[in-house]
Amino acid sequence: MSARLLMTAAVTALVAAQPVLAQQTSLGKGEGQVDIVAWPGYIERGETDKSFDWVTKFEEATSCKVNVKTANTSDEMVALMNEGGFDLVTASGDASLRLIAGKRVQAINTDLIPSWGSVDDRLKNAPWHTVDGTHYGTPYMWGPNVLMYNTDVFGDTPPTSWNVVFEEMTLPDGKSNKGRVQAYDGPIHIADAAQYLMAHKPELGIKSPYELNPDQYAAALDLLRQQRGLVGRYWHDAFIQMDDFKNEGVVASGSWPFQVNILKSEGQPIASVIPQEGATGWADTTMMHADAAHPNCAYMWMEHTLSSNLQSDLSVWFGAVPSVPAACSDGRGMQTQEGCDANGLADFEKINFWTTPVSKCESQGECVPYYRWVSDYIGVIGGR
Amino acid sequence: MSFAVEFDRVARHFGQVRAVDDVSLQIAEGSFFAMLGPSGSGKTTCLRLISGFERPTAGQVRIFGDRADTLPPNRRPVNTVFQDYALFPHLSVRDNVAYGLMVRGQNKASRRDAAENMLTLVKLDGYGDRKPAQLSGGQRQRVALARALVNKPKVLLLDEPLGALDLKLREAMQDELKALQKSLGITFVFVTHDQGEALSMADTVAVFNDGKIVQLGTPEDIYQRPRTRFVADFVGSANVLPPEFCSSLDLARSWASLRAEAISLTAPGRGQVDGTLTGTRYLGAVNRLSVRVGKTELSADIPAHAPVPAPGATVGLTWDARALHRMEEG
Amino acid sequence: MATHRLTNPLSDMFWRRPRVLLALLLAPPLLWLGVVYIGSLAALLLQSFFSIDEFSGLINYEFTLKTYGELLRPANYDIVLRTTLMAAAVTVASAVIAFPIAFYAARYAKGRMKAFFYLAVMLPLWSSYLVKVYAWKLILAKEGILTWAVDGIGASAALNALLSLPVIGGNSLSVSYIGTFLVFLYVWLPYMILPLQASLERVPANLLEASDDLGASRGQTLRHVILPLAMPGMIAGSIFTFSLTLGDYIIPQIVGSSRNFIGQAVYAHQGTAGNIPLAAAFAVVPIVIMGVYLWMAKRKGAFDAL
Repeated sequence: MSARLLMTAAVTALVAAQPVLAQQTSLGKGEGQVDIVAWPGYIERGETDKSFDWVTKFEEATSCKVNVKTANTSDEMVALMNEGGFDLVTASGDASLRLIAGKRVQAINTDLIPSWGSVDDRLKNAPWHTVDGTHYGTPYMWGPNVLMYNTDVFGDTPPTSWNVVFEEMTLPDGKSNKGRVQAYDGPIHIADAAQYLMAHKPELGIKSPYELNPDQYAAALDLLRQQRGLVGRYWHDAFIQMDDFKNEGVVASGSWPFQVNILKSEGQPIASVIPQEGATGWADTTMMHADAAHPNCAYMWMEHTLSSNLQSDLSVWFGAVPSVPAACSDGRGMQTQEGCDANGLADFEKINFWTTPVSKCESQGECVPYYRWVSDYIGVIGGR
Repeated sequence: MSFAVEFDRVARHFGQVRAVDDVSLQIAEGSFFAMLGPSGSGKTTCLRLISGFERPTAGQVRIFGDRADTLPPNRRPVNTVFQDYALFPHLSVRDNVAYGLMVRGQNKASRRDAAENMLTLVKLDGYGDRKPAQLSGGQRQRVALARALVNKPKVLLLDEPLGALDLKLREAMQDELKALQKSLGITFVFVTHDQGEALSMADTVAVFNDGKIVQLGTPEDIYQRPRTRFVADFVGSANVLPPEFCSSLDLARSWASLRAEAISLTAPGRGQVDGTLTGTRYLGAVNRLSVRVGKTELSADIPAHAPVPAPGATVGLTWDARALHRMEEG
Repeated sequence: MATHRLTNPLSDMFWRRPRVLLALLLAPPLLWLGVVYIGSLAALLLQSFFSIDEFSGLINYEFTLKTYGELLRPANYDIVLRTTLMAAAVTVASAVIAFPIAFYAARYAKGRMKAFFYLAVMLPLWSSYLVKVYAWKLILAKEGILTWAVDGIGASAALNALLSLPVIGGNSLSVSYIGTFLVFLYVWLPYMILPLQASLERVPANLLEASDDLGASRGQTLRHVILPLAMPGMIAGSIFTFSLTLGDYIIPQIVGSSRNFIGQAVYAHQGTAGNIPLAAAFAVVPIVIMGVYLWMAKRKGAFDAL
């Protein structure tokens, strides 16, 4: 995709021409406020649920008032950051590189974040926020896309493979899975199909589900066309999916731990698994605007995201995995080791984190770019 | 004898209001019948009882001997020229005229011919393709007429047909309507509040007041021999004379009418009465003088060229004894 | 007196040259319309004549019709056809349902009944669009109240037969075109009723009497007088229902079989895909369809009674 190309060019230029970007070297007094663009539910101050609050104490301790602007898509986040007027953004893998390429975010000085060392080693240099050894943000939260299923239907034989959503079969309750499974209504779901093919059709030679040559891509689309016959409605909105599991007779689907946790808490017969083929997933990063008006408060917030109860409680709230492994077990919040394990802590290696497919890809030179994914996936859902 | 329209003790009440109150009436076939009266007198409701847009509260309406008050409007052998013509704005003049034939299923060619013929009859040939909005008031009136007549109704109803036209056009149309009625021989029933129109066109006039017919007769009857004060007052500019006035002339004590143009001016003491001139109004052909005689104010029309005495002068008034019409009721 | 004199020259000038005042009053809204509305439309149109480079995915800023050609690819053509058919079906159905309601309200309802009518038609417009759509999702769900009610009256066989129809059927009403259609119909119906009612109210009563008097039956009066004269209202209403359905991308996402409508395709292509030219070309489609629709309506004489 264009963004990646632009990015490569831009980052090269950036690094070459301006090796010393005005990176902050010391922290001053807080400026009184910090403005953050975030996913819904990411920054809670106890207003939705009293027990989920990771803002109030920060404000008391630093006198930095936290202002949140929520955004529902990565594009919205990029657009808001382009507009300006914000200090921080919780960017996902697809937005983060675009922001770096567009010089909307600045490199951060990890020395000013005392808890940097506590970050999960697997995330410290993750490619979605580190370019040529320069860090452009602090890891915020990550999680897998799990296979959610109905325990009444599957009983003693929980699914172990994504085949329940890709192949027509008889489920343990004796009825077909036709019309009773769902898939994500976004082109990125092509990657899930590709990942399934990595395990089941090794002869295709897929190395990364985000880097597909035309043959591999065509095979993934064929698999998705087969899936179309099984799916009544694709899911788009987490709450609609939960409703579909309750009222539409849906019994299995790719999903997020978020939905799984909420449905379980409502007493629904729901469980989830990361099947043998592995899973795709998302990882978000707190990034700082190039023209942040409140850099001191921004740095204080980044430190806060790593050191406070945030990692622990947010991972419970969102069904995600903390970027600070200690947050699972040291009792700073509600999260427990079991909880982290359930949300996928140990599955990091099984997860292919979301990145934007581009035509110039690392594994095989020429790949199908994302814009084709978009139009072709629309076609597949439309029955083509 | 068969009547075109018969009302047999017909009433139409709207709640407490008796719009038509126990009216019996016969309209002779081939006549030009006028229903005259002020607004709210029940004349329009009577017309709508014939066309079928109102149903009687009591009594029967018969059209050519057949009971009609049980039939819907579209099944009655009558057609109406509406007050503001009610032409269909989305149809051409020709389609307006042919409408009645179309809904009866006549084929396109023959109804087109019939419409063109009818337009020729009302002197609108060549206007068939226009829309009603492109016509003048008088032309719309003719279209409305053609649209009703093309159906060959047994009775044509006209609701204030000339009300929206200016004076000159109205007079021309009066003559045309009269001629048309004569040549077609259809019974015309029309409603008007204009006594001049009723008198000049109709051969029978029914004067309505308060839901009742107060007088039915020829125009001359109505004009010369009003039966009541209301008729005398409503139809033309008659002086209505109270019973004591008649007594003072040594006549039998009763209400009477005396038309202004029947009175001439003469020297004091030489006429039937003397009076004081209180005012003069110039009306073109005549001067209308107001003369106070005792307690009664009389109007007298004298030719415009005759000399007019100064206001306050005492004058004598004279008239032909036959012009003073004694009325049956007050 | 001094202030009196001072204020005069300006108002005198406005009195002598009323156009100056008019121009002053109209300038801000016209500027707004011109720049924001026409400007964005022009930008959209321009974008649609660019193309995306197959190889790099970069936008190629050269005039081409290639992007419009893309619309003819089966997957994209499907979307256009699907959306247009849905919009047409919704429009026809809302006209059919709205007419008797509007006719009653315009010709018979008086006083309290009229107030009740307005309330009943407007009330759904006061609640959030999303709330209504989500509510419908629950109503139409496989285990929703409609299925329950249909079961209750023993008509589930009929419902299943309906849902087993090819193309428009599905696993449940909520995941079928029928469901999408029903929600569209519900959500846009008031936009048909209100203009239709307004135009029916403007049909003079004496025209109906004239038609009656000339021998027409009720049906003939309806067909030859009322319908033609109500046509401007029906056209106005159908412009609403048709264009609103053409442009909507929320309802088919929540209720239906996930097959894309034009709005969703625009949203998807202008988003992460970065295929602005194709999104623009898709966005031009409803404009063209509406243009053709209005032109045909005009040719058919739909505006003659205006």
